[in-house]
Amino acid sequence: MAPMLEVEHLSTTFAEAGRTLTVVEDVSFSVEAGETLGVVGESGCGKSVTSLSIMRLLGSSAKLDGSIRFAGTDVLRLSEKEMQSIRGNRIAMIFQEPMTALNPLHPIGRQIAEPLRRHLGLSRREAAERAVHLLKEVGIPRAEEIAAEYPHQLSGGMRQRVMIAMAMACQPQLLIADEPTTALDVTIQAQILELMKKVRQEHGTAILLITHDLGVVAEMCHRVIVMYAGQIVEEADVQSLFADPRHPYTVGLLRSMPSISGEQERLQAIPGAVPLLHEMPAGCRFAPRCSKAMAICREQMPELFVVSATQKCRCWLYREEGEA
Amino acid sequence: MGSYVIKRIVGLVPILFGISVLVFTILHLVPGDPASIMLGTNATPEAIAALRTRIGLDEPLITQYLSWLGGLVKGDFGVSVHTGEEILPQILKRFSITLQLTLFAVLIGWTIAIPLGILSAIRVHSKTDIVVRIATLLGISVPNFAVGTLLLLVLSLYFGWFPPIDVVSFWEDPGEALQVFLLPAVTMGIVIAAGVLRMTRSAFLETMEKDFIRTARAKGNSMWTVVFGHALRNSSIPIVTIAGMQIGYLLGGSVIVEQLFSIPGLGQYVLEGIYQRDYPVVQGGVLFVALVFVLVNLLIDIIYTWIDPRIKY
Repeated sequence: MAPMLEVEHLSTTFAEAGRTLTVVEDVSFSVEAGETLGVVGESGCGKSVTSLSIMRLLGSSAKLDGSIRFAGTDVLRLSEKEMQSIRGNRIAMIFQEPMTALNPLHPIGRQIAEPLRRHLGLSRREAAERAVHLLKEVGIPRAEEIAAEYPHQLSGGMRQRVMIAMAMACQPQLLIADEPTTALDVTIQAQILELMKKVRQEHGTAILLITHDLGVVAEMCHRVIVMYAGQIVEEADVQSLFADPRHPYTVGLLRSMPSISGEQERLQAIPGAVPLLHEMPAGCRFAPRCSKAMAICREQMPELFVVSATQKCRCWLYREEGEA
Repeated sequence: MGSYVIKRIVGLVPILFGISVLVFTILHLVPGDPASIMLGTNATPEAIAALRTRIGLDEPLITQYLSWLGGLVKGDFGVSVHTGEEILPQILKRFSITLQLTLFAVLIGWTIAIPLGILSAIRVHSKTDIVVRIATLLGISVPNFAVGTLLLLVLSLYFGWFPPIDVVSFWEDPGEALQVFLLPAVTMGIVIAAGVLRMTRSAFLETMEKDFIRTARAKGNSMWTVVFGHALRNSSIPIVTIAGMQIGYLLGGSVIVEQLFSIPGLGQYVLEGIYQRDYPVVQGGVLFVALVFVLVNLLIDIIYTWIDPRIKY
């Protein structure tokens, strides 16, 4: 079966003040129906831009190259109008800040009903009834009353449930969740993740989960790509990633995560900072911060080497093991 | 909400009292004696003194103030020293003309400003945006007496068209009233448009950056729905604010435009009162304008709650 989403050699560049900035460079990955792919990385590594590229929501200053095939169609070739009939319908998105992502002046029910009316052509009344039903499905009590309330009257967790209900309204084949739990309390985070699992199970939705939280990855994902400075540096199934991380950056990420078990030791922060977009190093982009950097790392960009059946890594250390 | 409105209306009393003290004091500090102005330069001191006694100017200031205030409480604005006419009916008559002019001007201003402001914001930094911004700057910087004079000159010299002399109301003869009010309303409308356009553009620019606009687009909405279904109402608080201020000011009578086009509005009435040191006319006029201004602001505050459910009083 062909994957639900297949991104190949995606590059996203922005023209700004006379120069072009490459924010996402040569990114390829795929997600199958019912599968969850995690996209991990620090702020500014290009993970959100990747997701907005798939939705084609980046505005006119962004230039997209490569191909993004969704259910067999290259979305980069679609007109804006055709794209509008896919957004919110077959591909839906959940954002990080449920407070600001909801329109503060519209009642909850109306916001959920909007895609139903737009894409499924439901009448105002049918859409309103369906909205209440969706609110119940995402576990909101007093759904009828909540539908008439406004976002500011709801808690953060409730708002994120509303976002999920809204995203799931037209039963999309692909759900892009951009840091869906980052703004929430830990207990609420777990509930939201459970809800997303339930959605995945019931509808077979493919999920692209963008996060910087490795705990969320372990909980939710089947496979993971790790991004650094606009590139994929490691791709692996979730077990291999945690058991046997290959890229020094991935290793660093895992070391900088506190763990409950084992001895209390100092967390190991990765020294230095992500290079600026217009000051990318010539060789490996992680080389300036890498403890294992060799001469070649500073001169030549490594390829994404295949290191095992389920793992790829962009690092010169693995040149011997595999070929790109 | 009901109790809020009542509270605000009760709050009007001290405001209006303060304004009455202020306008009375300032007016009596201005040099120039109404009696001698009315009687002309050849009047004898005896005649002036007699007139002063008749209109109560020889009383102590505090007595004059209290008797004026006593009348106001009963709804009596007094009579004009100059013409002997009742002031309140005059104010209301003049106000109805100013009101028509203002509403017409606002209609013209908003019709230009809001669509162009939105267009300018959603096509920010485009050629359209640049042209609109230059036009806005012109609209703000060119004084309205210049605009009005130019309009009059161009239309009369090149098109041979003059606005009718006699002012009629829209409910008496809409066609005639349209001709009467068109030029002054356009003159004022340009200034209104410039202010509202700037605010619309900046409010929209800010709103279009918001997360919920991205959500609205992610739902598959067209640009039209995003702009008019989501962004417009979210941008309207600052627009309504500046529009309310403008209406408030204009309802006080746009002195220059009324003067230029010989429109007998409230501004002209108060201005004539000042020339003639007609104290009761100026005091009554200013107080009325203040009342209108405060009421317009109250109305704007009520409109806020209708726009944004988060605003509660």
